[in-house]
Amino acid sequence: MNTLATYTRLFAVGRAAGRGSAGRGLRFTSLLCATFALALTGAVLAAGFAVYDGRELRGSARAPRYVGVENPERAPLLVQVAYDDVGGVQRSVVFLDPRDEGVAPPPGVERWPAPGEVVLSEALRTDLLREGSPDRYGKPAGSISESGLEVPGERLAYVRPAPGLIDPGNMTTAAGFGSDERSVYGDRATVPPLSAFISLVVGMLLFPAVVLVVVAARSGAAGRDRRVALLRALGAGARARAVVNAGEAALPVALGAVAAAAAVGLALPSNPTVPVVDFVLPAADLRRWASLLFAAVLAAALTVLAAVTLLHRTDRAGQGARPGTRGRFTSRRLAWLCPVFLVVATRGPDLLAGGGSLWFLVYAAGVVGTLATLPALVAAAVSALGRLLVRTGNRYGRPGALIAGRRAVAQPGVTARLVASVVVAIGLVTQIQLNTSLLDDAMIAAKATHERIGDSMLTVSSAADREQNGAFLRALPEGAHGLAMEVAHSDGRSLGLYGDCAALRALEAPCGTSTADPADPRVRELAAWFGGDAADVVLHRADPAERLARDAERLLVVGDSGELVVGEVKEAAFRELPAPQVMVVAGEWLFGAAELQKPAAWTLFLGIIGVGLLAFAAAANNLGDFLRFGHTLAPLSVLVSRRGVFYATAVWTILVPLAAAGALGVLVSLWLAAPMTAKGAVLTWAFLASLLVLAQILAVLFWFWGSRSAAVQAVRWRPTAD
Amino acid sequence: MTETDRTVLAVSGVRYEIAGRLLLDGLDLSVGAGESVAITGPSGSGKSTLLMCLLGLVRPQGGRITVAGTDITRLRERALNRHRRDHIGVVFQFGELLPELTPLENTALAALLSGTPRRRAYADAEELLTTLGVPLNGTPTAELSGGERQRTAVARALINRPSLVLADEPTGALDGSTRDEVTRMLFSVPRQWSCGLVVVTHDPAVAERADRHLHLSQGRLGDAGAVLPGTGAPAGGTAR
Repeated sequence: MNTLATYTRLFAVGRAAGRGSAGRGLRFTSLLCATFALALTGAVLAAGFAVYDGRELRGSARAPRYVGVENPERAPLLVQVAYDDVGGVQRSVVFLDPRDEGVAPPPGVERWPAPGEVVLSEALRTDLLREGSPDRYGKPAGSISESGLEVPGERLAYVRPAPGLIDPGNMTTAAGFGSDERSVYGDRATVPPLSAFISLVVGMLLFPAVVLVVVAARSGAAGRDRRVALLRALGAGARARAVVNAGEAALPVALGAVAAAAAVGLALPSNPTVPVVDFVLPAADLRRWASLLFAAVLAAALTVLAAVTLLHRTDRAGQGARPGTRGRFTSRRLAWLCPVFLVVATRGPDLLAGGGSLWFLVYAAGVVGTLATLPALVAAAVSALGRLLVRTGNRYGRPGALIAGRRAVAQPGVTARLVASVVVAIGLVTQIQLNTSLLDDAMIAAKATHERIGDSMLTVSSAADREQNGAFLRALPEGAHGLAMEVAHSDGRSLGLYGDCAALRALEAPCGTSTADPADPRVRELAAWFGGDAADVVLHRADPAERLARDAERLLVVGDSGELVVGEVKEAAFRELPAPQVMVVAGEWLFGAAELQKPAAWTLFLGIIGVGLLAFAAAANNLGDFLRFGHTLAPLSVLVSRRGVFYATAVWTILVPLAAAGALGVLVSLWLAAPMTAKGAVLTWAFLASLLVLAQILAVLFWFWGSRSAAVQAVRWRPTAD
Repeated sequence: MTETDRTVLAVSGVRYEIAGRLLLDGLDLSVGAGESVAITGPSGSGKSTLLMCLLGLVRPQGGRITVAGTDITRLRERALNRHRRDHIGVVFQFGELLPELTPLENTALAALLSGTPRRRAYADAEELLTTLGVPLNGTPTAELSGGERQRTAVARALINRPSLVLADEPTGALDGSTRDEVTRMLFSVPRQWSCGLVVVTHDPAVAERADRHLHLSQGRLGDAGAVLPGTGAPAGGTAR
């Protein structure tokens, strides 16, 4: 027999061994899921490179090619990048003024819009429609196609200002589009760098997927280890043993890889949307990198096969399959330390005045200590609950509680590993999510300001001249009034507001010079943000446009009756002012806070998947142990014909621990999160609820799967002494 | 009527063939209450198959197996399960006990799973274990000696007051002195608890202690040297 035929035969031997092994269903499913998870993670990483590469390509192609021109009036193209708040997030509005007929429009734009016209990306158009002001930047004249956007969902506007609104002095001169550097505008500013994305995927997906691969590769290990030892004893070399093991795992690994490849294939024809984060992937980039995407799937499959063939302990074969349970999981000292760390994390920072790095250090030490010592506490709790179950089982004659209780007492590590891994995973992901969403002090203050005064006062900045400002004030919607704001730089303790009688009345002040009522929340916020906390706000009757032409720095818009219709004010501003910026008081900081939401959403989304994978791995590990135990109970269950004992026992060994782990994880996370949420970090309830529901679903699925598998295994059991 | 006159197991004309091999070929066997029967035979002769047929785990292709007056080959699954639970106890080679449970719990568990009320299950288990000399100090079964484990297994087989006890190589995993002790105890069971006992074993020394010693060969049971019930004296009879 030649070598190929020998290996083919060995491969077939492995396949046959897989079909006949105990716990086959669990191993098959675990390997399939592990391969699928690892392959998809590989594909996600590859997709990350693809999308960032595409961003680089399209971002460079649309970047203005800046040139130094002595007289801006003679530049081929004038560019000014401004920002506007749409949907609570800052979006790029790029003002373009082509002065040379030979300058091509930016990529994705078919023809230059006429003066006063605007070209919008589809996503921005949708947002503007939602805000009821589709014409905010001018008359829409087409869309920016995908070739001009870094990603399909990017919000971007190219505005060609009306002749009167061009301000060459504030615009940058360019020769056209296409540069070595990516454009600075678009959603680039809010997108974390590739390295951050890679770190997130590695932590949230790759690590759990690798854990699942290891658990899957080791599931049903006792029988396989014996087989490998036997093959070795019969003289089979490492390669031959590897082929047998690969043969055993080939089908589930192949199916997992095919499923992942199919998922990748489905993403290629048209832009797929990533759920939860609502991110539209550019299919063009995926197609360009398709070979890497499929190579990642193949590499994942080969990695799982390598894990299956390498993760053997032939030297320990025959020493029994019971996991070691004593040691770190049952250390009483560590168990006692856990509540101490919890107190350090939740109360320790209170003892430190203010915040700063020491605050964070104490908190982080408390969190890390709590999560590190939690498994020991869980093991102690499992042991104690096990004794309680034994008492209950004996007192009320409940076989399931009795068996599960005795197992928990004898081997608390088995259940403790399941509970601790889920709890720690939830705790870690929650901490990452909290850190991602952590606001700085200014952002917290800005949010508080917005909660207090909402949209009742807007600030408007631009490089407008007196006439333009005058036109804007006249164009304000009914009930909205403008005031010029001037900060007295000499003492920094007074703010001057200049407006007509209607504007002063809107601030409930007399028509003349007066000191504003410091109890008015709008006045208080103005004083806090622009004049220092103790500043007086002095109101004057004057023409705001004139004051703006002199020393005033910006314009305020206030309304007669509380909230302003922001969209209408903005429309007026973009119609009358050159590159205006209209925002609520402290809006810059609100944008900063809003920009953190996307990375936080990604953390949330990938975190849920990661915790799900880890919980799956932990539950699969527990299930393997339950099936080994089920083999011991099989003879009795056959003789008394009571399969229900498996379901009853699994309630206490799988269902309750996994469900409780989800609840405990959420509880501990909430507890540990309190100091962070007090500092403005956002703990998303949907996130915690998802983790809780996920744990409960997995608990029920694995309970049923484990019970049924053990019952089926018992039905097949036969005395085999002969 | 003596105890052994009450037949607890009657096998007649049982036939079982698998993969072209005739393992049981019109096999007959009768066991009375208080009687012990040992069955020996070479490996592959069909001893385990016979045991599975007696347990109702394998349905023979012909013949009848009557346990406690009911032909189990005619019973439907549910009725068969109930009949097995009520009338048959089994002792396995390795005990097949749950190592984390105490002997009392292991024994009571079989009764609880059979629907016996809790108090009675634990009281019966305690009585049986005391009679069989198993310590009741709460030691996990895993920490018992091999002999104590097999005594516990016997107690578990008896807890539901079966008419018939089957033992599958009950001393196969024991050393010499423990084997003798367990054998003595095992063969005292039929008379003490008024049940029939069928022991499948490779060990002639164990088989010789049975009231009857039968040999399975070519699908049939033959007399391997009968002894009078309870006396140990040769009877010279044939397998009933």
